[in-house]
Amino acid sequence: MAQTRRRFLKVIGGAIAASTLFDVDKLLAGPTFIRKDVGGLTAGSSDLVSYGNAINAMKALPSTNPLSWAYQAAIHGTTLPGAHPAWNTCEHGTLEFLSWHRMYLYWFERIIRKKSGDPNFALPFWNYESSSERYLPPPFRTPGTGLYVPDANRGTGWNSGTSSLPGTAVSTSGCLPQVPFTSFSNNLEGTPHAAVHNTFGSTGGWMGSIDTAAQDPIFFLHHCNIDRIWNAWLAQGGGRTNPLGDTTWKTKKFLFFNEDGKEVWMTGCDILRAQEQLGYVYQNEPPQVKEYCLKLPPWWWKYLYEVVIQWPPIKLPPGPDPGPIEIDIRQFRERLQKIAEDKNVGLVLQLNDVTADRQPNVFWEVYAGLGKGDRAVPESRNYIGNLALFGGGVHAGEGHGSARAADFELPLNAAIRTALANGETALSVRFVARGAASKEPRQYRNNAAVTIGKVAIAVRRPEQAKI
Amino acid sequence: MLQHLFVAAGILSSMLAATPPAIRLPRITILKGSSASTVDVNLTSERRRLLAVDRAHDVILDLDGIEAERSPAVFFEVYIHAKNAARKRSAGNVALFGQGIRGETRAFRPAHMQLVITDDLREALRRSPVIAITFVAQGASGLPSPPRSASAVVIGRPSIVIAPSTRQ
Repeated sequence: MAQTRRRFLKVIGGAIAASTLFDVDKLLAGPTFIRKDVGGLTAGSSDLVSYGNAINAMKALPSTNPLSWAYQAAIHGTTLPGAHPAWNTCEHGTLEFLSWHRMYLYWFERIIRKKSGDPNFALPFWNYESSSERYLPPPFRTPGTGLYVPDANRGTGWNSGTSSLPGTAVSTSGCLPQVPFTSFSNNLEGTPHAAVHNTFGSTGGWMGSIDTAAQDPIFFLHHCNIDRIWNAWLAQGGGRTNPLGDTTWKTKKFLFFNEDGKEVWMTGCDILRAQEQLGYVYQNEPPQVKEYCLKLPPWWWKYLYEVVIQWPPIKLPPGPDPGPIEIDIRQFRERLQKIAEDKNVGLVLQLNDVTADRQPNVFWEVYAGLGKGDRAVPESRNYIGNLALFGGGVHAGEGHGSARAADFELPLNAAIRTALANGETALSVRFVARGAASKEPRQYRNNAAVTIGKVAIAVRRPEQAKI
Repeated sequence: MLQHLFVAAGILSSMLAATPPAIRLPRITILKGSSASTVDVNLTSERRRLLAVDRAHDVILDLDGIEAERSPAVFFEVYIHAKNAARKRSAGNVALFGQGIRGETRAFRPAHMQLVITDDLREALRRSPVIAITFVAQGASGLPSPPRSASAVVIGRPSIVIAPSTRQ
């Protein structure tokens, strides 16, 4: 049954993503390529030999051939005349800066693999943040190989080993601490990305201009490093996530060419998981974070719940606010810790079967983990949402027949993480009655006898997540 | 529905309460051929609130409307320091590539960059209410002469803003 359903969902998901390209099963079954630090490679390393050979083979093709070196570079940018498919399509200063370059590298790498005849080829990355890798990697300085670019186009001093990248050009200290994707991406695009390009530009090299940068083979190692930093940022956790709420980011299609010279289209959803979807990892990188696009229509969205802690019913009697409810979490510490760190699931406070004997004339702000001296204000990080009865849950005076009990679900990940970090043995949950003008510092009185019939801390998983 | 209204109203009011107005700075021009450009900014009237910024917030140097006729062929380290005091550490870079350059082949779009200057600004303001923002042209290390900007760069809408910290 499960097999059948999964197959069915896969077909549906495939139909929705029909114009985007991938045989997911084939990719999942394929090998994982390791993109290595070029600092650990020599001129004789197979990845660099293959890269150079492929470049020479591509340079022999006319610039109108999508597999030619000139055409591939022109996809990023060119001043060549003519309008060929995909030319000048690189994304800069947009939300798609990182995703577009990941796609570009992926198809480029496949072309190099085929043109070199090396089925194990993977692009290396230039780890210039390491102080021992600030000079152009020596294998790129040897005339006669495909990796070499003369001084006139590479810039002064790189091939001779006198020019190097300054420390301020390669620092990730501005981008990695950022939590929102936009802040991270913008910072990374500036430094190290643009600063490294500009540093080559200061010596007159191709790398300094968007229209010529990808003609230098070092470009692709630079961008592999930028791509690697994206993975490293995500792996830090702490709320870092790709912009999966942005439909354009997820669905905008970009054109590239596969190793047979055929047009292929790709979207943000196709490149979220480098290893699983694209078959590569970076040497020594932390485990890649797996994020998923929703491939089903929103009305198919479903959560699976697993109750971790069940708590007795809670009464909110008429009158002033009751004191905090202390939910004992001692015996669940280890489990909660694991769940709270899992980015693919959520911890929620379920308040179900909520009923009132009449309209309370207030709503309640709900706070989790509020300390004794902490103020109950919505700006506080302990505020997790509201419990408001209007129609649903109110038994009398609503005029809508027999009322159904109301259910609420409030996010708990942050509160649980804080409680665990502080070594708390209980999670305090507090209900603070508010009126419409909730900012006024007055006490609101609940007018009804309210019962929360089922109280639980539960794990919530999106059911479609692995489709 | 009512629940959502309450939440939305709460979020809106807290946003309004938490977002102080930006401190607009005059337009900045980094001259062609310059290796360093300094702009002095008198923050006497804002000094108190800038020094009072708590740990949940950051002070941001917001550089919007950045443009150059052609690539300056350098990037610029940005330093915040008290006027006439030596500059210490760079708060970040202004680096233009693929945006902000009018001479490039594709549709022009001014660049926008934000640098966190909380600590640098605090240190500078403790010494003087007049701070200096210095842009130092930077290129490859090892060249015989200091790098200079190959094009004038204009920062059309610079400002200082206090915003909830996005760092962790």
